[in-house]
Amino acid sequence: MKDIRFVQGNEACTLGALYAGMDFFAGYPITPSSEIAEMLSGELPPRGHTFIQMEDEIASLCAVIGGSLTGKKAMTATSGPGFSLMQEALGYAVMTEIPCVIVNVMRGGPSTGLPTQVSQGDVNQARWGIHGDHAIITLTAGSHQALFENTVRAFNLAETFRTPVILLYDELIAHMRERLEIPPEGEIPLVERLMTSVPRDVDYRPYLAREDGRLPMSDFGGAHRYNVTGLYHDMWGFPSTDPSVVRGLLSHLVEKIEGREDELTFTREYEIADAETLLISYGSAARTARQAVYEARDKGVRMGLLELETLWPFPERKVRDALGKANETVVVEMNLGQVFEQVRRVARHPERVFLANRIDGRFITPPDIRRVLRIIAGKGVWA
Amino acid sequence: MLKLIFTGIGGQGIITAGIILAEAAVLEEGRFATQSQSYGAEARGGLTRTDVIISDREVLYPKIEQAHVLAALHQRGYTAHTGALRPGGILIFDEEAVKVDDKTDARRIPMPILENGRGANITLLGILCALTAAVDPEAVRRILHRRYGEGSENDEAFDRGLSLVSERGYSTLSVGSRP
Amino acid sequence: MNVQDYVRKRFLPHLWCPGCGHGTVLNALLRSVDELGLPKEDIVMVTGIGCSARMAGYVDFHTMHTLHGRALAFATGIKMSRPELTLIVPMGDGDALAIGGNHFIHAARRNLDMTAIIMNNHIYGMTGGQFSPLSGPGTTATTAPRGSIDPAFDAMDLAKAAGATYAARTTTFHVRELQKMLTGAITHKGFSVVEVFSQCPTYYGRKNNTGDAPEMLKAFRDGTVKIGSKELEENPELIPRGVFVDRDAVDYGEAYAELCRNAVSEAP
Repeated sequence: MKDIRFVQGNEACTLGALYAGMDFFAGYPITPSSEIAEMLSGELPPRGHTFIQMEDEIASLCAVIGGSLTGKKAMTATSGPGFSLMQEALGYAVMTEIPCVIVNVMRGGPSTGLPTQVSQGDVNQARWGIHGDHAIITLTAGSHQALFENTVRAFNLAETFRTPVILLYDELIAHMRERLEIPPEGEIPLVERLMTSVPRDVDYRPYLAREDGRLPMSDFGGAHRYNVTGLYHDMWGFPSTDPSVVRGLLSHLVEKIEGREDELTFTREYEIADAETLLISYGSAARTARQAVYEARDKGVRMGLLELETLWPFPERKVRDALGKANETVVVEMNLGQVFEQVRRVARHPERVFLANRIDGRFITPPDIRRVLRIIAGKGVWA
Repeated sequence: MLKLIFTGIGGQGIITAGIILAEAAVLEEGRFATQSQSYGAEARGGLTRTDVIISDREVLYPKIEQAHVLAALHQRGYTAHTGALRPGGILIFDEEAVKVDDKTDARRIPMPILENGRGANITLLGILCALTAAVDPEAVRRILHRRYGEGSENDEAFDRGLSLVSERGYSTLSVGSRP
Repeated sequence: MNVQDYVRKRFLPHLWCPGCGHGTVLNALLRSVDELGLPKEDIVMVTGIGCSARMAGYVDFHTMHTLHGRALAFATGIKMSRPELTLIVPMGDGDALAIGGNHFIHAARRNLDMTAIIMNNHIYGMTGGQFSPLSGPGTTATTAPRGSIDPAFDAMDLAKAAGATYAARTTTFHVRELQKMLTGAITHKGFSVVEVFSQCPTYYGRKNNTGDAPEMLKAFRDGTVKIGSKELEENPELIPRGVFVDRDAVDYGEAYAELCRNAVSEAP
């Protein structure tokens, strides 16, 4: 019998994390993500797994990294203000290559902003919130089913690439309820941590990558004693300022992600084959965009949607391929054009890329998109 | 496709009612539904609204601009959200708590909802089921049993809602639109 | 075992200045670990940022050199995940009680079983001699050329008020006392704090005309006195040394394990 639930997005994310085998959560309450911590405070103790409410978001991500280093699949969840506080530890996780999942349920910003309303303003923060050159994986979702699947995927990618993965979705998805079908155990494959085969008392080099770029790990407290540091470090994990070590580590950190666009970028296509007008959207805004596509199709207008589920690394090839077929492209998002800028960057004809957006804490509507299309078509908008 | 808005103030159970209705459609009838909500920062006593869309297809856009049904349990909720009721739509309201504007273009259904006390939100569900056939009453009843157990005071509140519709001489209305 | 066996020789020489007190703390810690017979593979050392934090590189334990002020938060994650490990968290005074002050008081409040060492040299050494919240009024520092006006924390008062179940203070002059306190802290079940006055001749010493390292050690000898002693009663301006708190209370890790057991038994 199918396991069908009627749940909030935050529950879908939590259920996805449990499906993925998450066994360590540390967090701090913040709207609109608190339901995740609330649910896990009930779910984790009977499984003998860790739930801890920390003193702030800084400590939450630090604890998550500590949990992961000792062998756990670890996660935290927050919203913009907390995500800002996590940047320091996020950089540490990137540098030390410790897998973990950071959920950021977006609210309106900057600052405390709009705690209970919808926004997609953290796209660029997910990419560039931490200091220094780096690469990062960021996934999003526009439905509860996709959110469940992408939560599992976030853990799989974190383990595969030994990196923090950001799961970025918005308040509408977080709090709305809809149908979720939980796949039977085993239906979505899970990636477990790649462990070192180096035996005890043999020189283990924790930061020596294999040919495929993956780093076999040894849990802290296990057979191998090694050093972990946020400083540039050699293959034993000891600090180094040797230029070749520095260059080698940074290029490894960037290449292991930027060099794998095809493995890391996920999109969904709707009515795209013959589309003259292409919409590009993600998260809850993609629901509105898809609605607009179907309404247009009902009137014989050839419109299609490319929905992005990976935001970073930016799906350049997939976007460029989709752009090639359309006369004009409209990016639909709830910010001042953060993904729009990326689409224009990769477009051969950036002058044919337009933005339909909303920045007032209200959910973007199909008429918001149609107004932009009228302007593009030279038909104007009635005041 | 059927679009319903419930509105009231915090503590009246408006959001719970919306969840139960949508859950019955999804879990008991195998259909699609979304439930979303808006509320102020107050923990209690603030204006609340929940949007429920029930459909035979996946619901994409979950907010309602033109509801088929608006149910109001408080004057402030009615005033704030009556504009989201489509012309000629169904307006269910508590006959004591809400005074309806003469200009409102709606089929008015005044009902003694709030006299059912803590079960008022469930009474509202009974009224909705009997009046609109939005969801099979037995589907809602199974959700109530799952949540509160059989024989709870909510069963009574629900039956009260179902019988109010016939007592007041209403018959089932056909509402909703093609998806 | 020889104390040398706990050291990663590959990583020496260390970067501490001549005369720095931090090596004395390291020495006492290794002797204490040796005395307790703790296997190296059961010990995790987590440090923050600063002179003190470099200790993680020198010892042959599982070592994690983290972020300024955050060592206790990382250590909390490790201890919750692997309660059987022994956690030792050396920090500097600014590290522990300025940027890390919030993590410090909450770690003490939870009473999770680990040992926090505050290597208090009353100054920020690594960044070049700025005053810390433990420097106190009148201290001259590179950010207090006319003398600091900032009142200082008393780390023992703070630890006690926040709920630490073991809190002790000594200095790098009193090495046997230091080793005894570290042993006491490591064997204590719950959150333990050992504050060690450690001399920084390079910055604190030069800025405050204290003389060289031996002079500074003499000042530790003469400026501190055992708590509860007659000498302290007669000279209340002296700084008390000793064990300020040593009490039994529920350790957070045990409380969580019990919560888990109860959650299992109440499940349908």
